[in-house]
Amino acid sequence: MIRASLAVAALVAGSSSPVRAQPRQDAIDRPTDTHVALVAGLWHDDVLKPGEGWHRYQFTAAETGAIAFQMRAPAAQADLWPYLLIMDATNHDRNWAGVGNRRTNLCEVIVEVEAGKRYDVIATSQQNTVLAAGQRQRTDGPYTVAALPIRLTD
Amino acid sequence: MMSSTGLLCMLASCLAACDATGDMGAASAAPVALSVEAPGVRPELAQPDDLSVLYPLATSQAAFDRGYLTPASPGLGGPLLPAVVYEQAFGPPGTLQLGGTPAAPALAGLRMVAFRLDPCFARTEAIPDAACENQLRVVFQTLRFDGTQAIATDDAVHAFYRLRRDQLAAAVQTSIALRRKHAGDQRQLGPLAPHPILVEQGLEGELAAALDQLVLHLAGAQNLSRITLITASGLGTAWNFSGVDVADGVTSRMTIPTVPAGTTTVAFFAGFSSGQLTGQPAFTPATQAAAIDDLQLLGDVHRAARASAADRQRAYDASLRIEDPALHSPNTIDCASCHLAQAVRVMVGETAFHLVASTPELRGAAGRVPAPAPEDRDVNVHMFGYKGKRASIHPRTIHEAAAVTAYVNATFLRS
Repeated sequence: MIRASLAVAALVAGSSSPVRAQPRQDAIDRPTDTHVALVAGLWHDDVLKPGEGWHRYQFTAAETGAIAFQMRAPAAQADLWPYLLIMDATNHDRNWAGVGNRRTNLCEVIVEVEAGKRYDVIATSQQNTVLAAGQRQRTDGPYTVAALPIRLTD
Repeated sequence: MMSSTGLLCMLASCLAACDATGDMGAASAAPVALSVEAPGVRPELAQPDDLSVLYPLATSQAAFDRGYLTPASPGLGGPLLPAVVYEQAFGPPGTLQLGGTPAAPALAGLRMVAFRLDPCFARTEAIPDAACENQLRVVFQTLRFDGTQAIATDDAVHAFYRLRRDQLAAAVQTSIALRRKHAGDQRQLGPLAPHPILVEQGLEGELAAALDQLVLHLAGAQNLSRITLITASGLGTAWNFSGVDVADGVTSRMTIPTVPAGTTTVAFFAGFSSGQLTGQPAFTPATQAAAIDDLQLLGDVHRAARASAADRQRAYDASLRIEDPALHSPNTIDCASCHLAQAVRVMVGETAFHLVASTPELRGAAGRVPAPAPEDRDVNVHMFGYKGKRASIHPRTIHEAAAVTAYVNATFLRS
């Protein structure tokens, strides 16, 4: 009787829809590594897509000084706001920036870097304003990012 | 003291430039007006369009498909731009370049939009013929067809081919003969523009086919000597310049003058304010050129505003010096300063600060080139090619073409 029950249970289980594995989403603490090393002054273009909404870059400071990390998404996509997280790879100090001007969709965070130190640059562009409870942020679309050496005093 | 040959080149270039109608419309994608037949034209002498040939943008799918040479076109000793050499230089297709700047343009999308014959590449002084580097330069750009017209992407690949003097001389004669055959002996092609006969006949006409064969006869894997790239990033606000030298199929990074040793890429960032130059920093890396040749202050209007009037004037004059082939060449100035000379001069020097040349010589050089049309008053790095649907010919190219024409007419075409 038990064997028949198990057979019926197996039949029932086999006839239901298979469970599909959900694609692994990245996250702020688990960004997608782009394997791109930013170089001061040069702009890198990229595209965020659902599931890969957090992109990580590496930047190694050649000189001590101020770096303006900038990210810009197209201004036409006003509902997707860029955010930048700069993390010192040594001590994990963090500097955040969110979009400051929604007309330009440009965000910037200035970090005093030390020569030879490596920094993780994590970029995302998210729609956060219209989320329902429990809804995941949507990340989608092109953007550009750069590490720009600047002088804080002129 | 300038040699007699050098003086002759200067005088001839002045005459050639004075022949220009000054019609900037000739440098646009608008239909080119037929030139007026001028009595007394010496048909056996070269004209600028004989030596610097800009192909028109295709206006039919058939012309787009069949009317352009490609990197794979069979040239001297192999394809015009062999894939194996291209990948050795810039990596497999899709490989990002320094700092995540864009990959080299895909070979499959490139089309030859122009070529230039140069008897004495990168020389600014009169030198013996035997010491000249004779060269054919090909301009490739990524083109696509939108249903009515070809459109150029904001990129470029330049391929340089080393020639012998006799090869270049024969090519010049061939080009002149083709013009005489297709346009008659009295036709003056006018100022540098999309080649008028190519425009009239179309890309599937006889002249295009003959010029293509001329290029394939002269250039290919066997004599490829340099490849340079222009790519755009920053969502269309930054331009990146790099290149390699090629010797016997082996590539090595090109030395870029006036920037720190080992620099493989120079870049310009225009900033995000449309119609203005506000990038900080504008040029990466900054030039180490002498102040007299440093235009980079004008790359950022705010930085220029904080500078002294004297410094702004010096930078403005530097832009004119860089646009003068008698003073500067690819061996004396970095790629970004040269390709951005027109933009910084016009958008910041003239528009923001109303600067003019400070010396009669520089005023003379500036006056020979028409002011860019309003729609061209934006960053356009294409010195002899296309931006979108518009032909783009920079003042330096006009000066160079005039100087090369004068040199050719004064040397191996002299009767």
